[in-house]
Amino acid sequence: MGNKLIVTAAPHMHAHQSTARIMWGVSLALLPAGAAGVYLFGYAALAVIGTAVAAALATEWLLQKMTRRQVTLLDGSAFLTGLLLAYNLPSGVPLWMPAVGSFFAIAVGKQIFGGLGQNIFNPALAARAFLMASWPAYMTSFRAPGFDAVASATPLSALKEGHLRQVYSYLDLFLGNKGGCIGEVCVVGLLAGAVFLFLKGYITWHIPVSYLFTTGILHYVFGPSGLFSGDWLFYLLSGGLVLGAFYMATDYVTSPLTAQGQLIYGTGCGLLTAVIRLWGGYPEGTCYAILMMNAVSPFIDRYTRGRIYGTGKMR
Amino acid sequence: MVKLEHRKEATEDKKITVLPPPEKMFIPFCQHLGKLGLLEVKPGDKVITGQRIASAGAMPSAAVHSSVTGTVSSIETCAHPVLGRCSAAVIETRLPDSYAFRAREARDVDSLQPEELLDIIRDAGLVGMGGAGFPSFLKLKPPVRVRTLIVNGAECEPYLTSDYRLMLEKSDEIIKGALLLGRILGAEDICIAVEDNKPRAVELLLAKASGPLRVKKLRSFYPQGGEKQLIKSVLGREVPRGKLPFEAGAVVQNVATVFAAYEAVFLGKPLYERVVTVTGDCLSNPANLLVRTGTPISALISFCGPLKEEPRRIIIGGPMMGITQAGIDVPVIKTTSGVLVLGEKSGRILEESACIRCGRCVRVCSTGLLPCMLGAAAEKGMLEEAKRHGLADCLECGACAYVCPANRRLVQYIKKAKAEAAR
Repeated sequence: MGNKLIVTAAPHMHAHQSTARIMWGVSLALLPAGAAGVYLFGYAALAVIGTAVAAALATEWLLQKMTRRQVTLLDGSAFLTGLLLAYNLPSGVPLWMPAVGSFFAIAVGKQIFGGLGQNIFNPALAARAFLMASWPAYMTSFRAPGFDAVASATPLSALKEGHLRQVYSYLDLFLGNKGGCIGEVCVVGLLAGAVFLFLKGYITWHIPVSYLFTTGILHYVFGPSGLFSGDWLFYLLSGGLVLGAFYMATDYVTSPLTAQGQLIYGTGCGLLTAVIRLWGGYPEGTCYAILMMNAVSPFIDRYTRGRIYGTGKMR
Repeated sequence: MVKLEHRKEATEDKKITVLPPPEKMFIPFCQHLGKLGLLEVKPGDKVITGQRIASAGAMPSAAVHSSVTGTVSSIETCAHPVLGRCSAAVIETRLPDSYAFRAREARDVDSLQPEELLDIIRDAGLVGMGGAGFPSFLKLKPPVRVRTLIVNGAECEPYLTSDYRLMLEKSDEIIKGALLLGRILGAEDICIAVEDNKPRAVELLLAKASGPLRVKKLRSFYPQGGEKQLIKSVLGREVPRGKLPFEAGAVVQNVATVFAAYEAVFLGKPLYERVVTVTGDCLSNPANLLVRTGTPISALISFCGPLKEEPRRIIIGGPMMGITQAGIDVPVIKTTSGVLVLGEKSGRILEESACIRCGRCVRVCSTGLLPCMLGAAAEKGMLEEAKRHGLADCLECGACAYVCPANRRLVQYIKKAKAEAAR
């Protein structure tokens, strides 16, 4: 038996966990919200999702082939990036936009930095920011739910422009009966997926809770008719906040490592989101808030290293 | 800290069984952490069971004894489970032989002074039997007096049950041994620490403990049985960074070592045999065996066979910190707590991929390091960066590599960097 024995360094036991399992798990968690998006906005939404995913996979394959590295399409990370980008697009965009966006996400957002695990910014959000800067008209023309394809504003943009928001009940906002991006509208679907992520241990509470809490508090405090008059629930249920807090800000690669760092990061995301929404030029701030916090994430890591055993004070 | 599957079911109810020594024994002169002993035999010499064949060399070192009665046929370099190769006495046993060690007449242990007890323990070749193998008598005379002796019965490595069986079957001896070591140290507090996945051992020891002796039930997690973790769990304080346990007022000894101390002092028996858990999915009859040092593991494997499938990985020690072996000619030594024979399912190699910074390693590191960052620096040979990330603090317990979804070889990189830093 001697010549067939494996000799490796310890440990010789492993938890049943893999990158692919996590990536596909997160993709699965996104399924209900995506299905709701297709139900609400029709097959155009499905086409956008399909194009974004296909372009992300194709770009990943092409660049890994060109740089003669191992092709890792099966790890699910490119699939997830494409999926998240599509979820951040309106359903009515021409199909070359998700294709260009996914190319940007994988090529510029990820592979240029050295591939999986090396990028500073969340690739899907970097691509969304790129598309927003390049073709803002397409990125801000939303349709109302239903197959009649009537142009519509999102609840947040309607509010920004001074329209009344009473047309939306909390239930509408919760279920997704509103204008918005494909994957962000159905809050109940996103929350169902988030429960799955918690139960599987794929994300911890630190980032989403600190993020949502901070945004909610600020919207409550700085209300339209003086302090402590804000409709915080409306803001939490609107825009890309729930999608961002549970699925984008929690991206492992671009968020801090320690629990303490994650709390600072989540609070920062919440602060920036509310500031942009309340006083900024855009109706929605989730995307830019997370990107800005991505940029300071290595800095947060540096100052939130844990206490090493045998040093300092034991808690 | 990480919850592991215990995988102890196969052997936890198996009584300790004596493994008869084979005809040829390979007894390494180094079975401890430290320097080689000084040889006291030459080829052709007749030796008896328990006879010293090497005395302690330059410190740290420990004496080695023959585990059988027979003739030294040669002194050669043989396979060694920890060192790879090591000089060893090859002893051909005279069969049938008087295997049993003749216990000396009962001596008046109570009248012996701590120094005399220490001498007995040194002469018996006692070393830490939990894995590291540090000479016991050195550990038992710390430069300052300690208040607490912790007897390590945590046995947090999966699969292993040798300490557990010893606690069940030799509880009186362990208690006597613990009181003895407590007397040597002048300790006021003697604590036997056992994980709560061994309730029978906890109950049994609790029922028998009295005086300065107490039993502490610990939560089952890995690496609960690590010396530093154990001190934290039992005493609620930590060993200062870069210092030894006595600076936290404690000395830790494994239950097997404590049992060996009992045998050395009460029976005059040197350390030449120990309990070894032989298990793994390839074996049809896993067992806890009382094995003489120098027995090749092939004898243990065939005793617990027949094989159900071809082994892919043979590990000496536990699956988290044990050492994979390239062959089955390696002998059991004083620190061999287990022999794991794993097949295709539990022994295969998992492919490594890029770190995704998921932070699982950070959450399980009981030392409070960022293993992913430390591992990355270590892999690239960036020693200064690795030192800033606590290279010297890493216990190499393997919890980080265990949970890593990318199968990063974190411990391997860290070990390599430590070796480079030591040069």
